[in-house]
Amino acid sequence: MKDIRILLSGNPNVGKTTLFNALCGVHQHTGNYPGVTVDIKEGKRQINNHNIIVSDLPGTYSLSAFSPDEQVARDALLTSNPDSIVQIIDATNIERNLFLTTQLLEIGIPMVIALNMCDLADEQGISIDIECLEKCLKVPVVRIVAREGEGIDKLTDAIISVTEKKTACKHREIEYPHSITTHLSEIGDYLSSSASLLGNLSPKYAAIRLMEGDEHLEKMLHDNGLVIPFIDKCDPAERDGIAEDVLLARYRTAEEIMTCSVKCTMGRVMPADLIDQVLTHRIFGIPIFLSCMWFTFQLTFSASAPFAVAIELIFGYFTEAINSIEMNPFIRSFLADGIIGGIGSVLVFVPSIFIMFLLLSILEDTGYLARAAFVMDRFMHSMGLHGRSFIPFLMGFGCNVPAIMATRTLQSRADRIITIITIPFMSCAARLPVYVLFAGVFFGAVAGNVIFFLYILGIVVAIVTALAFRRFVFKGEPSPFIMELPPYRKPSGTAAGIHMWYKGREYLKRAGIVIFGGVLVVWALASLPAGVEYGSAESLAGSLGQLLQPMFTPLGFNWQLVVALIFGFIAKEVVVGSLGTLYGGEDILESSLAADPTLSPAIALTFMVFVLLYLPCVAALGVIKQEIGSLKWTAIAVGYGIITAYIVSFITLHLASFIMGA
Amino acid sequence: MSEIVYPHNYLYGWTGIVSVATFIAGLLAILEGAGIVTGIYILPDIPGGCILILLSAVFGTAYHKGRTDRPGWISFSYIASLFLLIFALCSVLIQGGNYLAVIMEGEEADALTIISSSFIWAAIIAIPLYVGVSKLLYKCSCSGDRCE
Amino acid sequence: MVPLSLMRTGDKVVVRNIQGTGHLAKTLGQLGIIVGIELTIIQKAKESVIVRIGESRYALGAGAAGMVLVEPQL
Repeated sequence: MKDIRILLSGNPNVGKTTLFNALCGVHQHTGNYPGVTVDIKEGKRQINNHNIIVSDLPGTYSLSAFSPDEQVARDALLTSNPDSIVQIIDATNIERNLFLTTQLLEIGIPMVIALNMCDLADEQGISIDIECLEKCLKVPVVRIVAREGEGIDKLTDAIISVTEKKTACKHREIEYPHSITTHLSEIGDYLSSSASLLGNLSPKYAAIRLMEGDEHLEKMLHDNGLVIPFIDKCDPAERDGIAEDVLLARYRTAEEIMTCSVKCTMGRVMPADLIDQVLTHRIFGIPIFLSCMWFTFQLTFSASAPFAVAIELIFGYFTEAINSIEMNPFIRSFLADGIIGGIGSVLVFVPSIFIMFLLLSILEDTGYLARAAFVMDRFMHSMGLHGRSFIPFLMGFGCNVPAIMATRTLQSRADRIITIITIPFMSCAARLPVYVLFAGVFFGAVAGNVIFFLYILGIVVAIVTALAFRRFVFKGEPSPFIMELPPYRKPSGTAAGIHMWYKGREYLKRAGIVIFGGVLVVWALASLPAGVEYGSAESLAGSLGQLLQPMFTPLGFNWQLVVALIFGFIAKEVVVGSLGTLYGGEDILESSLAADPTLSPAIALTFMVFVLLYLPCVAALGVIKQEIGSLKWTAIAVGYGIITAYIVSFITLHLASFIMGA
Repeated sequence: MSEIVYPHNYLYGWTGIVSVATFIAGLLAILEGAGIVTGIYILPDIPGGCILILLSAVFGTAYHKGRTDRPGWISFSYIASLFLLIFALCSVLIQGGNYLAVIMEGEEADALTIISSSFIWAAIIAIPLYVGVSKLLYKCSCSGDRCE
Repeated sequence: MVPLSLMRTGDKVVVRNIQGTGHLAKTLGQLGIIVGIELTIIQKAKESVIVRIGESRYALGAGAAGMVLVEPQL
């Protein structure tokens, strides 16, 4: 059984992931917790006695790496030495895709081109001469329709064939102007003595990369004490001029290839243009978008409600069953409150998270989200944020963890950090039960309005934070908004379904374990020392709460609320569960809360505001650290959250007492 | 263009009718939601009503454009009717989900609420417009034709 | 030569110059927005713009649109 490792590369929105799914089916896993298609997924497919291992790279327009996911793609292509590269090209837009092709051809790794969406090209009257393409590029070109699974076998045959024949040396070469080629050989010769430093790059190819302006490569060579001939002597303006020459040479090559092999009908009025004019209209654009979001969230909550009720009912039966069997009360508590309560807390969220992922996937696949980003950009720009930040913000309303990971598409570090710090203020789905509980008990008929107010408060705090950080910490503007608007496509049910399944599964694995563990910890602290009444003031949990309670007196929280806040750090879903434990049982929680003299509507509101703002949960914090990469900023995120929560809660308490007392 | 060809003539007029119907549907939903009007079998829904009024404005814009800018009329009415249909479908799913949840908790609920959202009524009136306009829109994408 | 941000919906223009160096020009270049290329303006908001090049469509925010100098084609 021979292993063949291939990388799937290509522009964004060409159907890489669809091809990946068609190739590997269910035999795939993700490297990390997924964002919005920004991680390297790996999978495999077996053909005859070959085991093809596929890595799905993030989409890039070229090998210049500006944002983290572009960097991931570049590093994989240049340093991981795969057996072959498959570039997926969108048949309806070949010329732009060819730019990347010219770069990939030069790497020196056997390559195959998968021409995707051939059916759409045919519909649009674009005719492609495959033989001519193959002759021009000197690599195999395979027509596929990844959505339908057509052409996959021919593709795998081509992959196996180029790998075994090692055809890279025959790839088409790009013709550079004389001004560039003279120096290429000079640099190449110089670098050939440092071949070990270059790793998998040939000296000749490294020279081309340097001419194009590959900063990573340059830095690496400089760090090792090398002085690059010609390049190091140029000033920045000359460097830019050279890079531009290389760029133009590539486009010339692409144009040449296009004219010989592609003929398309000209002079059509594009329906997509007309639709764009409506969806990005200066007056209607934002309201249309807000309407879509309204329905998305309504749908998420309502469609998941039956599932949530079903889960509650099932777990109710389990709890009753356990209560009816004779056993040691300690074990009974462990099973009923600990295990079942723990699993229940996690599962109750699964339906809404899955549905949210599904809906956002569908919106993204149609191409509408890109238009929405453009429409919201002006608004976000005035808040000091980049238009691309709005998708992570949207996701933040479901769960902060994938939202923070989705910031990888932002190019500037400042934009990324500001976005990551403000995401936790988007009230995630896990906090909603807290609001429903307290608003329901203390505000009765106006509970819905109170909850709405909380969401708006979160957004307002986020805006203020973004403006403050932009003005005082990261002086300057967000980087310019440049984004491709993909063509409108019919969303595929299966593709969206697969996306939803894998993202949801990762959420379960990562967050699920943390939440479940958290619930067990709550149970343990509430049950020990042995013999104590479950969840009473004498238990460890109670002692902990009473110890810390003085810090929260200005906010009016009693010790039970303090303990719930501490557990809320582990996972927001645990807050309600721990309150249920501390008040003697979830079924009587509502009446217990209403009856507690230390609580009042004002304090309830303050508590909800605190929960809204104070801290991201442990899972989110872990992701923040991972994405920002620096402990200092993670600490700032935490500190800022707690301080803001405290101050705003304090103000809320006094304002609310004043308004309600009067 | 002084001659307006048959189906366009009818479709164009229908756009005006859809615009008015959507506006009324939205208004009713808002009034129900605010408690001002009761008794008619329409779901109270203030945000939904606002969305319906927004869509009626888009239809109105399409109607206004229709006199001079044919492609503009096509695109605005296409988008507005498409979104109206999608939102109506979403309403059914949303009310259905709420209904199921309530039933499962053992309480009583009225099954007819599932189709009582005013989006449904507006959508029914808009269906012929959607069918007609989307055909026109796709004609635009055939090679050689222009959107006339 | 006029900045792209001053053009109007429906205009067809040719790119004559891209101001500023570094990331902006490189990013635009990757997408095919280079000197000599023809663009159609699909939608124009106050300062930002959606353009079409051949089959691809790009949205440029105010900062980017102001840096691209174009010449209208008649």
